[in-house]
Amino acid sequence: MSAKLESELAKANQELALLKAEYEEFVYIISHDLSAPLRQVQSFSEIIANTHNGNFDDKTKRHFGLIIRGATQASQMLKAMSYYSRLNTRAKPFALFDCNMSIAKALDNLSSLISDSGASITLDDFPEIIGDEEQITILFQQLIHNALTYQKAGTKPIISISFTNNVDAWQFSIKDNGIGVPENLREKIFKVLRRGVSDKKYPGLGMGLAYASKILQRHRGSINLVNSVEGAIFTFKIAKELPYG
Amino acid sequence: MGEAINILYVEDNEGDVELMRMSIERYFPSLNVVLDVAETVDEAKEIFDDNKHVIAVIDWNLPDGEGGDVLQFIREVNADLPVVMLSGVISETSIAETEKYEPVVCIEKGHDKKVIAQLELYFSSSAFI
Repeated sequence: MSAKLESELAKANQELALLKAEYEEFVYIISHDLSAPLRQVQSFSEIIANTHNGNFDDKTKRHFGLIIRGATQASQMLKAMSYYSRLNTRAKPFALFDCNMSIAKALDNLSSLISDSGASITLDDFPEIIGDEEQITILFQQLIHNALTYQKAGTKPIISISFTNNVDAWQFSIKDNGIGVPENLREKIFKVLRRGVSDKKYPGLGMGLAYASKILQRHRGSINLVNSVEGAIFTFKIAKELPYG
Repeated sequence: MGEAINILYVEDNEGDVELMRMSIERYFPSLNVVLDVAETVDEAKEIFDDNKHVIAVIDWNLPDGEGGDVLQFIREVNADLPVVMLSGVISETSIAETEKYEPVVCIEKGHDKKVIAQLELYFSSSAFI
């Protein structure tokens, strides 16, 4: 490499490091400094509402309810954004691990939801893959959580998780019998804080698929959604050749 | 109270709906403004009545799509209905996407006089005020 190119590369790396530091500081400010005033709004509203509830008319009580819910939601969003950011900034090095263990952990974390919903889940025998085991567990957990959650009332979830051994990548599929995703929302749902359903019908923040996309981006992978006759099929790829060890 | 002025308001945030109701009560106390609230694109399509609604106020981000989907639907039925598009943050992309369906105005949310001024303008031109 020529001296000129080396100097330009060093400069670019320096700028990248500065941008990364700036980004981390920005995320810290957003997640930490903003959460303090929000906590105050939430806590003092709760104190006022609880202490003086008897003195308020119905309209004022409703307004306090809206303040508390709004502040709570904003705090949850900040936490979720902070977590999203840490998927990059505090990621662990890649290692070789057994994907069956990762899925078992994800299922264990979702055990109450699985038993409450009466779900039946079928699994392939999965390979050893290279990646960040903790993040891959989160990836499976988010996708299985969605498959369990977005169901018609009274329906027992039927979920199958399978994989295909492609040349360059492991390809996984999670198929469910849920409500599916309208065609016009198939890209939107992967964005941060975007959802395909109403909050009232299906409470949530709209971060699960954003986490999944971010994790796969780090694993040189991708995720797609295909609607089946009944429900949805999320298919994602994880590159086989990742640096590890 | 005079005749009802029916507004289609497409908004999924309960707090924003409450603030809009209060702003209307405050600024148009003598008018009989009725807000028909839809929380989703589908709900808006279901309740929109061309013979009833005289103006539509639509939030950009909706759970099952974009406010632009509702605007497009309205324009297929009524090319002239005044439509105010609202958003927490207005981006150039969303304006460009929406402009082809000719909203009257795109406004950043905030329950100050901006939205009310638009309603006022419409109410004056329609001789409600």
